[in-house]
Amino acid sequence: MTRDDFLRLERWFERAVDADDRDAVILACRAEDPNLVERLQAMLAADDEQGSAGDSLRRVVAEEIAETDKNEAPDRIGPFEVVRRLGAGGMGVVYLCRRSGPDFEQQVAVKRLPAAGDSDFARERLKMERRVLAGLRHPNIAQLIDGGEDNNGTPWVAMEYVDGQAIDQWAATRDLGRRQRIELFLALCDAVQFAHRNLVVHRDLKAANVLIDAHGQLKLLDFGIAKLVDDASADDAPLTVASTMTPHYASPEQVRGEAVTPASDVYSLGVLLFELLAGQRPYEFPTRRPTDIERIVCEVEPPPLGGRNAADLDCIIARAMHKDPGRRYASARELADDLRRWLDGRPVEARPDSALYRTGRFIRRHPFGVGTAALIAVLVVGFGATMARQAHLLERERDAAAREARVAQETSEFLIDLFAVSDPRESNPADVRARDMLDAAAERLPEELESDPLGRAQLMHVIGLAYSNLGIGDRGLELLRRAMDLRIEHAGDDSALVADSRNRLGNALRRFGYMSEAEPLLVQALEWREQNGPVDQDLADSYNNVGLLQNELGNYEEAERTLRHAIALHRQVDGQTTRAAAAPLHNLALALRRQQRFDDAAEAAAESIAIKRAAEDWSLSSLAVTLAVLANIERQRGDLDAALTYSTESLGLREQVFGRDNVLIASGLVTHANIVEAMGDLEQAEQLKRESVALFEADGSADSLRAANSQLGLGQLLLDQARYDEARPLLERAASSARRELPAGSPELERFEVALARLNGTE
Amino acid sequence: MTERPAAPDDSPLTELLRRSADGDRVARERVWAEVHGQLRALARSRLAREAPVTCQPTELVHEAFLKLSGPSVEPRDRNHFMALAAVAMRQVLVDQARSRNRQKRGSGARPLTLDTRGGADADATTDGIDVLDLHAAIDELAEADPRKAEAVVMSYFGGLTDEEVASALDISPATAKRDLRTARAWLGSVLGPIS
Repeated sequence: MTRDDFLRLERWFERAVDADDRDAVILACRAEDPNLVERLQAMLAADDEQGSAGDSLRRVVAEEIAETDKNEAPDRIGPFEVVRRLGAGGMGVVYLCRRSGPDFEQQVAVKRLPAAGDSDFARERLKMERRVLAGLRHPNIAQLIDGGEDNNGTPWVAMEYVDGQAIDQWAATRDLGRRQRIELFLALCDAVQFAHRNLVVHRDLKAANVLIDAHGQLKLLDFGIAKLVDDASADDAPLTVASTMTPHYASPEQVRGEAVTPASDVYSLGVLLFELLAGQRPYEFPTRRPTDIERIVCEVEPPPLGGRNAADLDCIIARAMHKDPGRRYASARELADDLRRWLDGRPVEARPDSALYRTGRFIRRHPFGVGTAALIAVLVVGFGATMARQAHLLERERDAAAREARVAQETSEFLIDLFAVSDPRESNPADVRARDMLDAAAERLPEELESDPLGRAQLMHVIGLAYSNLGIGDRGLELLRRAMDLRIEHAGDDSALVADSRNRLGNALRRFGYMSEAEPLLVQALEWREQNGPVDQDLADSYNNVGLLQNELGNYEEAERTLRHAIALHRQVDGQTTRAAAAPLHNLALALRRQQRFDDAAEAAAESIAIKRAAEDWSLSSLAVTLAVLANIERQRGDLDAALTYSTESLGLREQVFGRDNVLIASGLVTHANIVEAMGDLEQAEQLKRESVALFEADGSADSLRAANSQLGLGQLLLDQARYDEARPLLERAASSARRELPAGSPELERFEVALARLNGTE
Repeated sequence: MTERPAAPDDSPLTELLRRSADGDRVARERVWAEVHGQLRALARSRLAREAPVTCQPTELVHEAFLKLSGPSVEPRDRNHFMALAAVAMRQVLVDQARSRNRQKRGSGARPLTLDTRGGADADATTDGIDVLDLHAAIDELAEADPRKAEAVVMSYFGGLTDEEVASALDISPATAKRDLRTARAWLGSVLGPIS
């Protein structure tokens, strides 16, 4: 039955099953597809029977199970006596066998292959292949010894039995260094080169096929066996392509089902080299869907190895694993030669692709994936819930435009899956590459999704959040604003999407210290959600953001009420122990601290920290921020040792995540400085505070409220030491920002005014 | 009767399954080998005490699963295991049926037409259809629609429920249900009028 016939038959069947008048469908089928009508009727009859009397085909399986005991491992295969079963796989069962004569005993591994086709041609082809392989004699290649067919017509091959350990494990057990691993790998290259010269391609190179025996000798197994299996099972393949191949080592041409050549082995060697040097494989596959596997293998570049002098090795791996077979090393020997150059400290021949080639290629293949790919690291660290919330919103929007946006959404989600495999706790969003990719994505934005403004808004929104999370305020805010404008224009001002934009943009503005602009946005979002939205995490999030703003504006009691409401909402939506409560708990600690209720504040902070430590979906940077809050509280409670401990951990985490030169660690520096200052180390305190102020200068946000806090901290320190000339510009600038962003009479503003008054009074 | 080793939390099978789901062939082969061996052993021990006709793949697969991993495995991993086990089970049963047929007939290929086991062996309820016929029909289905074939293998040889099939294939339960209904009916129509 052709595919097309099957498809039509399926459609008829489904129509008939769903129809009130089944006979009418059968008549229609008879008229339009007369050749299918009989099958359709048979299917309907079978369907009826299966529905009423149960599926008799199940019984067929049960009966065969009842026969199972009668069929066990054979005693002999060909001339060999079976000792035990070694393993089994898609390639067939492998037995350890022996052959003994008067003065010798030989151990071999015998592999039974899937039954060959019954044709003479198939048998002949198999025999010929076996002859070629038997001629392949090399000290690093496990020798093919014999082959044949057993009584049942099942083909088998006997190979040199290697009692060894897979190369990666062997190297790991001995804790080999990079040089030693490379030297080991060179022997493998020699073996592969030798086979290629004899016109044999391995096709299934992988760590499990490269063993090191008891004498330290490298042995490559299964040379050419993959081809025997493919040939044999071509007409009898129960497994899909995706399940029989080894995606981790498969070259792009292999996953696409194209011709396999020696260049494919060179690619797999590159993967193995990477695995050997990095201790892990270059790619992980979040799903086993063939389309996903193909996409990863064909489009994702292997990550850099890292470590000393690794740049050249990265180039070597990149060349071996090049997506384009024509750009790989021409042979295993050339790969080996380049590795020898590296070992000798000579310049290697592999060069990275030019930036132009790389960027062009990547962007071409990811029309809007570039941005989202880079987001992953960022979202994982910062706002993992964002995308889920987006999906949720889109679910609510019922118009066609929103459905189109969902296409973009799904693509982003796919990419998130793709990148989510890396441990969020180790990723570094400040990574230059992430920024580069974001920049590339942002540049492409004007051209993206012309016909789908909401999809485009979605991308801008997400990229904008990513920039904000990276601490790149200007770009982030700009994109979030543009996304909001697009949403207002196309979804209407009165929509969940616009409420989402207001909430996010408002929060980003608050984060960067632009309070006066943040306030109306956050309040509008909250109002919209209260009136139109369900009681859900979004609503709780809005309360949280408003509470945070109230706190920063100095309305501590109001903030406390709002935040307690946010916590209650989260618990109402997701249960008492919900992890979502960690954020408002953190903020509650801030509000309580400002009310000088240090014990309550410490309790709330500790609760938030406990959640964040326990839950994988809380990022390290977020944990760091709460630790800093607790450090501040402990300092104010007077427990300086505890404060220092928390602050040290916090700062370490922030540095790990953002790098020391990122503005997002500035407030952590001030926290730490205040503690060491209280402990009496004024010098270190001053240095830390200067560093913090400088970060805002470098970032171009020296006039934000955030910067003002750093300036105030440094100014006060200088003031205490009567260094008025140095303190003045800092305190004046800080006060000016504070006056702009904070309402008159706010206690927050008062902190600035008091410091300035002190300066003016003392002078 | 069934020995249930206290499952260690870091059951290696869980890790193997995860890697196998990621497409790691070594892991997949190891899972396969384990499942294969377990299925045989279980089928045999079962035969010693029960009427063969009650042998359903579901029980075997579940039991193999418990033996190999213990119960504390995530549903997703479990479904993936079951899906693999179904493929292993199919292979075990088909190999066995082939080998038996060869022994009965001497060497030579199995006739392409339906295999009717004559005489006292014939079982009225299955109209002489055996697992090789089912196997061949599923292969034919796989040519027209690989996903449906995969689904029906899980259902028949692994005893997976429609929901489990959906999860293993990463499709919606409704789609799985529809696919399976069509696939079963199609196989029924290929394997001839039943009763």
